[in-house]
Amino acid sequence: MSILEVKNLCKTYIINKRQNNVLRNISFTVNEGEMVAVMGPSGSGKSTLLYTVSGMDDMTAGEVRFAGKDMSALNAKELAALRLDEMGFIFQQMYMLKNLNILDNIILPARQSKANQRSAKEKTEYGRELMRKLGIIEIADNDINEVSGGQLQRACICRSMINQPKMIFADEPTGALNRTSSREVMEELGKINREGTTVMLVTHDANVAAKCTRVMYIVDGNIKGEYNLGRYENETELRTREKSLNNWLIEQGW
Amino acid sequence: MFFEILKRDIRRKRTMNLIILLFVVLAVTFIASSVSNLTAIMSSLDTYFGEAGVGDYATVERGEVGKSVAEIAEGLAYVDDVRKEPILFNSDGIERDGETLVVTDFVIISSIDQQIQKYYDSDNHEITEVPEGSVYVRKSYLDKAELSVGDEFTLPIGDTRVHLTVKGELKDAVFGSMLMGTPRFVVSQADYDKFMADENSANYKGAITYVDTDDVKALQQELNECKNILFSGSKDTIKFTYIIEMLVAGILMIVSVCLIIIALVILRFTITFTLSEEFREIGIMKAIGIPNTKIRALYLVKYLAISIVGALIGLIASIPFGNLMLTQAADAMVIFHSGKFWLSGICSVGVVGIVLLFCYRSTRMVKKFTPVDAIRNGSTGERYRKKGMLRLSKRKGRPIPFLACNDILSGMRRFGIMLVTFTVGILLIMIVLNTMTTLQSGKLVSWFSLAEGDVFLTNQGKMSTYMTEDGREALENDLEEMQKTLAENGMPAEVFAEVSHSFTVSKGELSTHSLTFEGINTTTDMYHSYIEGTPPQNKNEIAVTYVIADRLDAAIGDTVTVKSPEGDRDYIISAIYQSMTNQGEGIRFHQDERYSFASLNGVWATEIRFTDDPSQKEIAQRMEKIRELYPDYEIKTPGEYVDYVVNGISSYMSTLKLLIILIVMLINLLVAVLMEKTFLTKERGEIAMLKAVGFGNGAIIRWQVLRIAIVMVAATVLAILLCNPVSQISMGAVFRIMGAKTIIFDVNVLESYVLYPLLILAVTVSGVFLTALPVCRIQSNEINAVE
Repeated sequence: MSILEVKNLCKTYIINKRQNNVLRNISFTVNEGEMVAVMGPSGSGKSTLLYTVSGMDDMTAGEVRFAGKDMSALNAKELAALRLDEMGFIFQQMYMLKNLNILDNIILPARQSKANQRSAKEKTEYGRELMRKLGIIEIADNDINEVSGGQLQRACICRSMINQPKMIFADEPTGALNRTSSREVMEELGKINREGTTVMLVTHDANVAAKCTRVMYIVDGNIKGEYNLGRYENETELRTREKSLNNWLIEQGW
Repeated sequence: MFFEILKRDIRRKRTMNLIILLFVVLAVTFIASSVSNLTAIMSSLDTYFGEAGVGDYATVERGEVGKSVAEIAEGLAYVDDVRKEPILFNSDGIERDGETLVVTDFVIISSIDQQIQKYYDSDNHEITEVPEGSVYVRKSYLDKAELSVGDEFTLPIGDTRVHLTVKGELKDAVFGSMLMGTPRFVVSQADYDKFMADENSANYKGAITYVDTDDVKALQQELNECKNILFSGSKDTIKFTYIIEMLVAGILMIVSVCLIIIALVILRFTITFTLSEEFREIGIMKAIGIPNTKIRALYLVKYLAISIVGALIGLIASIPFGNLMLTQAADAMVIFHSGKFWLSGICSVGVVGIVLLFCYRSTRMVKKFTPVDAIRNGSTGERYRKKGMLRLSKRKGRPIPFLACNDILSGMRRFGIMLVTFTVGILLIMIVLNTMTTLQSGKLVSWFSLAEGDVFLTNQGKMSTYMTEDGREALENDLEEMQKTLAENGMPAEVFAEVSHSFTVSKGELSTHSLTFEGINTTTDMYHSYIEGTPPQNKNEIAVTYVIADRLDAAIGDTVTVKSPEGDRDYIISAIYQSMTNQGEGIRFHQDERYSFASLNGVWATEIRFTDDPSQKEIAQRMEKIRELYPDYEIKTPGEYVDYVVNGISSYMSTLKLLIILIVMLINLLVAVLMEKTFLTKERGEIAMLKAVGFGNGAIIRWQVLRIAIVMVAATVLAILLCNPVSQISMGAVFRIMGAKTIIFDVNVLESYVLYPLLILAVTVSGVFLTALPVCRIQSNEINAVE
């Protein structure tokens, strides 16, 4: 069953009176439980695609349906509520409020959500549970400048999970991390996905993309090709998956 | 890169730079105009008094008992010149359209032909003649009586009534200031003669005497034997009565100092903010070898330009603004010297200098930036300062109020600036409001040597009829009659009055002149102005004001001698009290002590104190009834009576209140908008992140506005706490000059602590709300573009 349906999506920016078509008639579907990677050269429109389908940015034309809802019909307030309650976001820059400690940053969206029916205490407990799951419970009371990049990104994952979203959108979630941290973060995203949350991520890293179920390759605002990798089960198959993905990417012009 | 940064700064921080410019403009306008006005008034006062020919010592006498001032002064070796002018006292007010209008207790009537000083008209021309049937009156009286030049009224003295037309506004050096309660009417000799021809004119006679002497103190001692003196004062004392005319300039000067401080604090904040934003450029400049001094010069150039432009605009604006603020003083006196423009210029240069000096100090942090900062995105890896103060996880409720409170507690430096600014502003308003409430409350009645009553009745014409040998009996009978009538009309009450003499009191070698008070139908414990000791319990005990006690170097338990036409009597001082009558002078006798009413110099209001404890509403209704019963009297509440006694100063303060509220609102608005602008720039990334995770525009704007609203509320609370001590220091000093040693300010809680702070809060919050609206334009996808 699909959670995200995109039909003929166009996104155009006008810069200095010049029209720049970033996304051109893109159509695709993401099914529930999938983990989809979006790859492509710089400037191909990967991030724009992510922001547009998640309602962060307006679309110029086309249709995006998230969990059955037509996103073009929603106003800014409704889109914000949708992002708060049904979507989770992870960014390359691990941005958090600097006046809050890690735990408070994680539970902040839960406390703002009207749809999340848990009590304040339960929300805090759930935040701690997520941190425990991702192995960062010991930094709950730390300030954001007291932890490493990997820990911070895992905290961002916790924040994205706090309202138990239907889908997580991640824009280069490992882009600012070292290899070890990057592997840890992807492991956590994989776990979340296996537990039922759909994930769509943008990445430049084939190693990251190899852990996804499907890869979409974008060039000049068009989906040039899609590659089905199937579910990633364990580390032993990673090398093979990465190799076949690389071969496909080379075919696409990577 | 040098000018590129400068250009970018001017473009990007347009609002901030504009606000700093505005602060400099306002500070320079206020300081230049207030300094210019103060010097204009102060230097003109000397010339004005000199040109008008006011003597070194001035006295006003009423009646002709014993030796006059002129007779005493003329025989003294150290006296150079004595000038005496006969005058008449009117205490019946004026008649207009068949109605009697009493604006002040007394009016002095002078003839133009007998003048011993020069008078000026509203165009500052000397008045040399007054046509028959015309009169010159000071502007403040005309305003209060709602008269204009050309209007007509009738002036009564005894049974004589003279019809007069207002020829023009009078500028009178001695009786021209607002603090001088008694105004002078200058008429023609022909009209003056008409009054003098009245068979009772002797009851209204008096004299003004100017004495030129080098030894005012010795003269004062000699004049103590004169029984007729109603008022006396040195030239300097009379000049001092123009303090109210200087009040606007004085307050503006305080406001301008506050503005300069605020401008400096904001400047520091802006510079710190700008530098922390441009660490990369600074790091790169350092990396390529540009020295600290040159980098600092870059910022100094900008603020030099802003402050020079601001100072120039402010200096130009100070000319019309200063003239506007000078109107009050110019209506009362001749401004011989206009404000010195070079002095305003020096003030402007001073502001520029202070701003630059402060900028130089604030840019010291440039030294701390290193090229590594530029490379490491501003992070040296050593910044582990704890940020958050509160824990969301330990609190219930919505996160927006939490975020607002947490931000304030985590950023006390930046929010502290706002807190201080808002507190100072609200404090200023509260002080003025509380002073006005105190003046209007009627509580000051006891500080004018009166017992507290519910209703005050004045009829100066009637009052002066008691100033005879058998006046005491007449007054007591009238009070008894009034009490009976009130009771018959369902208004059980005590009715009493206050009378005063002017006697010399001495202790050993020291002696002084003072008003002495005697309550009719009162007891000494009904007065609430004692600050030490116990009210006089016996006939040989008196209470003296601390001013008189100081003059006589006397204390409780000391014996003093009161010299009256009935002989000398000794009294023991049993209490010290405070009074604002005649700048603090006063003596209270025991209720059994008797002095002849023939030598009275004043019968104050008749007072009614209801004994059945009626509500304020009931009192208001009873006042209407009393008006019907006593149509010849003016019926006043205690507050109205005090306002009448202090010559409408509270209405003057209303204008001042409006000015201060407008200035405070403007300052608050500018500070709040400037801060909000910097917050938006600094928090762009956080806002984008909050939007990305699903916070709506409304929630984010609420967060931004709530922080400033909380600071505003905290400032109000702080101002409420500081209000009394600061009022005591500031306005208390003015009251002390008037004779009140200790003052408890009355507070209209709703007005001072709720309505006006709410008004300022509403204006400030609206400004912040509008400033925060660009939040809607910040896109959640900007999060990755944030440094």
